Amino acid sequence: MRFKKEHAKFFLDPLAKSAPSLEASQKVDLVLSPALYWVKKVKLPVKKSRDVKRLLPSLFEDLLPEGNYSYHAYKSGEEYLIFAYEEQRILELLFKFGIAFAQIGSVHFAQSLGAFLETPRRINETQALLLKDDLVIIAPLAWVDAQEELEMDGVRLSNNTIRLQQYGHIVDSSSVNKISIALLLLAFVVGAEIFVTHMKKAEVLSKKEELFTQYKLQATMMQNRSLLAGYLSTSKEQKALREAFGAFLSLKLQRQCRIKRMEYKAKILKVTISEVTPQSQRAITSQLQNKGVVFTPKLFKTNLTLEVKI
Amino acid sequence: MNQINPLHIGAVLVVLLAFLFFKLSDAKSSLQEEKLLYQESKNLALQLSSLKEIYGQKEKTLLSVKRLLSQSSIKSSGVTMQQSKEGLILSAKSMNLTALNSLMGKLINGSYKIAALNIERVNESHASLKVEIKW
Repeated sequence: MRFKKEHAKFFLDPLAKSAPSLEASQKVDLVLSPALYWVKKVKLPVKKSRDVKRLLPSLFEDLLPEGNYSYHAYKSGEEYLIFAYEEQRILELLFKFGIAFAQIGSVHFAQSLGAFLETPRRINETQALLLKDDLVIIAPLAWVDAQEELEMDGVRLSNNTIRLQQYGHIVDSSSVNKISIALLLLAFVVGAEIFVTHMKKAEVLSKKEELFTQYKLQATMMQNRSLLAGYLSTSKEQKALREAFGAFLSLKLQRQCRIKRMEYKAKILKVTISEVTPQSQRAITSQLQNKGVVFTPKLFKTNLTLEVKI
Repeated sequence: MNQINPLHIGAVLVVLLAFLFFKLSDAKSSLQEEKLLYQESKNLALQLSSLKEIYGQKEKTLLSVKRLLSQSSIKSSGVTMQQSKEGLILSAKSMNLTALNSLMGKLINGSYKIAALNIERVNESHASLKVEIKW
């Protein structure tokens, strides 16, 4: 069975002398002193609080000293209560009082204490908290009769809370949101590009498969390359053979010379010409050289054998 | 109340983006590789197909040689044909030079894979022939 732990309550006042005594993991609900914020009561012709929030900076424009402000608003009866506060100042005060950010439960404006301020209450040695014209304000002790100290025990706080930005001093939340959205959009675009690229790759692979089927290629490119190399080698050999044949068959031989034999085996073409004299040999070899045929001549008696490696 | 440091969120998003860009680069280079491989395959397929058409058609070669041998000028010269698994051998003990010229002319000008050849003059007007054609 889990019991709901009561949060401690602390009135955050810049002039407070003592910090709250909290256990390490104890949560604390904070009530901000009016010294930590500006408040106005305004009547605005808008229906939603969201529409009011857009107007807040301009509503405080000429009032606030220079600084980095956050804003809040909520409806109270027919009017709106609007607040401006410096988060950095509140965070510094929390640090001063030794309250860790993780210990903060909820943060309320002192306006929440309106119902408990039938009489002014002392908040420090020089100031008191009181309700005037429905606004919770602070006043010097000399101006009011504040007999009692402000007691946070038993106070019931409203649901109107603000959310402190722990890193608001580094970059404001709207910028963070814009940058995050931009980065996420970019991530989405890049992700989409990756998907499209994968689709294109699948398309190319499919076309390749179709190609293999259409041309009845072997399963692997290595096999196909080997097959092609074989055919190219055959083509080269046959072309060279025909060129050599052509060279020999177009020889102008002396009257007595005859091609006696043509043998082609193991890529060697041997052509034997009979009745060859030294003069006719020179004529034959000269013609072959002019045709660019590389040969090895072998003369045996009057038979000249010319060997060509194909 | 505890919040994530927006710088951490930013760092995570930047790392995520960097990872995605890396994957994109990887995917693109893989696509480029496949495209090059496809082009190579296409070129190879075309080359292989045309060479197969010339040198790889057993039935076509056989039919063509039979047609050659059935020509009247060659038919009467006694050329015989022996067929085996690897190819065929044409041989004639003695054929006249005109028929030899005609036959050899067609064999040389055709796309036959001549593996071996032996032409030997028998006399002034005749020669013996043995041609091995492979497929």
